[in-house]
Amino acid sequence: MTRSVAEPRVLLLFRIIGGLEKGKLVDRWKLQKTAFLAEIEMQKKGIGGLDYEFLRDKDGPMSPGIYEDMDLLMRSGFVSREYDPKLTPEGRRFLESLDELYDAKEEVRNLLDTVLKSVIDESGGSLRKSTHDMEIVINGKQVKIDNLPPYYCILHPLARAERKDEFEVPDDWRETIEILSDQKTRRDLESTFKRVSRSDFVC
Amino acid sequence: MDQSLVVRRHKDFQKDYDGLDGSLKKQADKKLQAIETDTWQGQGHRLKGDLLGFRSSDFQGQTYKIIFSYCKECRRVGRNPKFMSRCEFCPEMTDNSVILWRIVRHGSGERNGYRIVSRAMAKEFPPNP
Repeated sequence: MTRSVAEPRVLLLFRIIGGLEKGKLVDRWKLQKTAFLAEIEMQKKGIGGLDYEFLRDKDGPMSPGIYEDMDLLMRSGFVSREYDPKLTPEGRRFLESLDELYDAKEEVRNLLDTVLKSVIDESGGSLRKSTHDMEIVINGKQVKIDNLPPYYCILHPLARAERKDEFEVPDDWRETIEILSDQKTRRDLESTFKRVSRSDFVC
Repeated sequence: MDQSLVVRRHKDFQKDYDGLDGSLKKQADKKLQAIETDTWQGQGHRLKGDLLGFRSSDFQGQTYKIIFSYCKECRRVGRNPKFMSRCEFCPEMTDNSVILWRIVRHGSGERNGYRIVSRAMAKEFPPNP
């Protein structure tokens, strides 16, 4: 269970939500399918970090973990709606402030950007269909996702031993994100920093 | 570097500090002493992004965080103007100044939520006498 917005997978999901906003209306399916496609691409290159487990749902690949993490982002005030996710103005600005963190892992950033570019004009419905039609290998056999039983695990997080690289959050960034992901703390700091003059100091 | 630090307390920091109870105040004092006597300016985490130029130091596990800045370091790394621009009195501050800005409590919402749920559960399912 994710406990903090500063977890790599939440930050990657946050970036995906931000990226999807540039295209057609974002809905929960589009987010789920984009995260699934991004996870596949990352696993192909042996990159860990997104780490969601995807199940076969009637609407295509779906990860319950994404809904949990959406809840975390909503509680932080960065995302406004659970099913049709949308960044709040605060979330948009916060995402911008994380550019340096994403830029530090150029390969992951480029990979996400490529996936986002490929889905940006697709609707949630068409992505549902195309992911349903995808084939995965089970016991050496190619099987269409659509033909799998409900809630069959389609994709596991990449095992530690198979990881060549990983999207990690350095300690200083983790600390910053943890502080700013608490709405009350953010407001408190903003009010303190709004206007600082000499008279604000008691000694 | 062998110069002692000049400490300035923001009024919001003082308010946060005064609101701490006895045992927390003691823990905060220990951290503050470390910050105030640390002439190598290496205490806490160097914050990034919106909080560039600031540092944080934890006490009571990671529940409470002192947000502070070393003026010398803050001038060197700069600030994120979208969140906070430079202090207007910055040129007057000497390099050996340290500013204590706030004490923030981390994750209070989750803990409060846990307390509310446990209270409700205890009411619904009282423990056996």
